[in-house]
Order: sequence, then structure tokens, then C-alpha cells
Amino acid sequence: MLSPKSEVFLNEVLSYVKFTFDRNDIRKELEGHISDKIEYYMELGSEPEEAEQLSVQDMGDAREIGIELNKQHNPVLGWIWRITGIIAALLILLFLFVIAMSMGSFFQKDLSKETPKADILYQIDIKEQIRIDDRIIRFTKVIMEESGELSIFYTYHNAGLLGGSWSLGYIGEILDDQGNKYVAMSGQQQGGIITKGMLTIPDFSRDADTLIISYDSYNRKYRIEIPLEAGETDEQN
Amino acid sequence: MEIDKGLIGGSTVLLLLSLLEESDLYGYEIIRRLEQRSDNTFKFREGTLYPVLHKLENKGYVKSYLSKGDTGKERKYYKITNHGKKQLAEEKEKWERFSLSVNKVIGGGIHAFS
Amino acid sequence: MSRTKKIIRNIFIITILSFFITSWLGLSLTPLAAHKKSERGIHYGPSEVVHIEDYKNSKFILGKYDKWVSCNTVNRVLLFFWAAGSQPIGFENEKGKALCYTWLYSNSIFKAYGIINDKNIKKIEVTLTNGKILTQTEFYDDMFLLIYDKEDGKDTYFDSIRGYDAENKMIFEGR
Repeated sequence: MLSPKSEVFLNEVLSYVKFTFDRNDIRKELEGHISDKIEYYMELGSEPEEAEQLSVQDMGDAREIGIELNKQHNPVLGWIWRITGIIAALLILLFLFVIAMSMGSFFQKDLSKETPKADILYQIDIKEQIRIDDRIIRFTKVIMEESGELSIFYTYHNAGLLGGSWSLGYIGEILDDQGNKYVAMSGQQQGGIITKGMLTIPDFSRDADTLIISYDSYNRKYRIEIPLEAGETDEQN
Repeated sequence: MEIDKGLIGGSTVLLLLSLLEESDLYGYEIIRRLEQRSDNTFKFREGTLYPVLHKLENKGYVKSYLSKGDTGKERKYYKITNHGKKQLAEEKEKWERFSLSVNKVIGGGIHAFS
Repeated sequence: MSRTKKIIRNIFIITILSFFITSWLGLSLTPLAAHKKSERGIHYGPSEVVHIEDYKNSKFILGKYDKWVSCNTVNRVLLFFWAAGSQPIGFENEKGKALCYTWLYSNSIFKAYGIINDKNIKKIEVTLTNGKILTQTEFYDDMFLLIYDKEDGKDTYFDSIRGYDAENKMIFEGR
């Protein structure tokens, strides 16, 4: 649209602007000004070429403008702005990614729903919450299957927003009121901000009427007693 | 009388901020208004307006945005900020005090010679 | 927004988010903070730090907690940060024994550490499976730590440990 005359002027102005990323915006702004001025002169009756000549002349000294613009577009500040901007953007992405990954755990399948209904002898909803160090563990459900397999469901998360994502290896010894101690169990955990876990004991005593989870390790202790239905059914029989 | 005037200088801030207080303007419009108001006394070196506008923006007195006006051409408009309004009030006060004392000196001089 | 303000805003965002992200990733700014965090995370400690051994990009931290002793590892990561390495939990000190020890081999580094209950022991010697003998005479309080980095590329394990008294008489042997 503009002829070499304005181009020469604009290029000279921009040659003084050291922060190259701002050059484009400055060029557009000055170009707009010159073309407005050309229109103005042409309305007054100038020929295009003359109008452009006058317009560029009206702008003033390219060198002076360039030097002053460069002061306002400090390259050091410009670079800090760009670099911090990029880092901030990357961190926001990473942050959202971590949040999204963790949110996943809220929508994860409920482990306790995986047991076929027909196999369930009974299930007990529990609300036991304990805390060791920064970790809050909630025991949510116990399912007893026809086969004698007993599963304990729990979730855990960190108190507070800041905390490493350590996994919990051990929730305690599994006992019952009959004095039995259970080992060789299988379990699984799936993580995020809130981790869901499940522990399965293959052959739980049918006589026991209390399930005991007892943690006592390195001066941290808790003991949870969960009444089972087994005892009651025995009495009815 | 035509005075050749560059815009890089102290009093320009007052002029620009008071224009922008009335409405949002783009560079070319600012020049036109300055010329009209000064009855074409000033022959501006128009390009020197931009470093000043960018300085005002860096100081936070104005902010800019791109917009297509009535003509459909995309232009960079400047808008005065609250910070800029405060600055304008200050500059106005300074200017009034200054012109008052100038008048006193001039008046005083006349008085002395009378 | 002026550029300076944008920079301030960016730095603010960077500070807050790196704080969150590093703590989620389990990163700390100092080795001791990483050590404490790893102990707390695994529900052990806090132990009293007896000695910190610099080793390449890692620090081995000898500690005592109640009746247990441990040698935690923290590693330098991403230049500025420290993260938990392995084995924050130690073993129980059996006070009746002249010397309690354990050894581990991971990432091609052999470590033997322990606690000396018999004050007569003045020298510890650990023999490795490749015949190499590691010795320590200056203990950290009553704890010792011996490190061996495999040099010939072959994995090296623990063979035996001996404790000697001031007259260089062997008063403890373990295999």
C-alpha cells in the first residue's frame, strides 16, 4: 500500500529499536498514521506521490523517533518479560496437567463396585478416619463375599495442598476378635490427589464378629474395630 | 506564526492526558486535535508523539487496545487509566501554580516599572 | 498493563506455581528438608541427624530415631532441588550386640553402615565379595558408614564385617 518512501522511513525508525519483538506493532502503528495523513493530503487535492512525500516529512526525524522509541522498548525488560511469560505459561500448563491427572482419581471406577453383586454376602459402610503425619486415611467399606473373601476399602490423601505424593504401602495388621492374624493378602491402589485402595483377605474367619485394623510402627499407632455381621447371623441360626 | 514542535518534552504529558480524558484516541487523531486546538500554531513533528505515548503506557497512565473504528481500519487506541487521571490532576495543579507565578513575575515587573 | 507490571505478575505466577509443583513432585530446596519430608512421608522419624556424607550428586544422611538407626539418601535433581532417594527407614539397634549393621547395594554404590554399642571397638573393617577391604577408624558419634563405588564394573556385595579394639584385636565378626 505504501511506497518505498514510507518504507525507508519506517525501516530507519525501526533500526533503532533493539527489542525486535516490538518492531511489528510499532510499524503497524506508524504505517497507520502515515496512511491517514496521506488520505488527508489527497482530500486537500494532492497527488498520491506528493501526499506521501508530505506525510513522511510531517513525521519528523526518523533517527530521533527511533532512538526515543528504543528507550521505551527497553530490550532487557522486553526479554525478561518474554522469558518470564514463557516460563509462567509452561508452569500454568504443567499445573493444569497435574490437576487434570489428579482429577482423574475422582472419576475412577469405584473398586468396591467390581465385586459381582451375587457374590456379596454383605457389605458394611464405615466412616473411620485416622491421621498419621500429614496423611489422612479413611476406611470406607468392608465387603464380605460368599467365598469368605473379605475386602477392605479405603482412601487416603494429604492434609493440606502441599505434600509429596507418597504412596502408602501398609495400612496395618489385619486381625479379628478371635485372635486370628491375616497375611498373604492382595491389594491395589490407584492414585491422584485422593488415592483409592483395596485390601483383600482370601479366607476370613466366619466366626469373627469384629475386624481389627491395627497399625503400630515407628511410634505411630491406630486401631480400628469394625463390627461384622457374621456374629449376629450365627446367633439367629 | 508557525512553531516547529517536537513532542518529546515535559508539558506534552499534560496535553495528551487531558485529551485522552475526554475520549479514547489513536495517534493520528491526537495530532489532529492538538493542531485544531492550537489553531494550527504548532507544526508537529508527528512521529515524535509515539515515543511519548509508549512512555505513558509504560508508566501506566494509559493503556492501549486495538479496535476498528467507524472507518473499519484497525487502530491502536489509547485510554487513560485511573493512575493516569491522578497524574493528570497533579500535572494540572503544577501547571496552574507555574502559570500563576509566571503571571506574578510578569505582573510584578509591570508594577515595578509603573 | 505496563510491561513492568506484567513482569511482576509473571514472577508472581512462577513463584506460586513452582511452590505447588515442586512440593507435589516431592522436591525440596535443601537436603535436610528433603530428608525430613521423606521420613514424614513414609511415617518414620524425625531422626536426629548424626552425619551427612557428600557423595557425587547425593547425600547420605546417618540418623537415629528412638531405637532405630538409618542411612537415608537424598539426591540433587533439576540443579536446585533435592529429592528423596531411597531407604529412609533403618533398622532397630539391638543394644546387647557389640555392633549392629546393615548393608545395601543400589545404583552401583555399595554402602555398609551401623552403630557401635561396644565402646572398645576402635576400627571397623568390611570385606567385599571382590576381596576389597574398607576400613573406618573415625566414627560419627557411635555410627559408621563405608561406601564403595564399583570400579571394575562388576557388582560387589558384602562378605563380612569385623570390629577391632585399640590393640587391633578382633572383638566382633559378622557375616
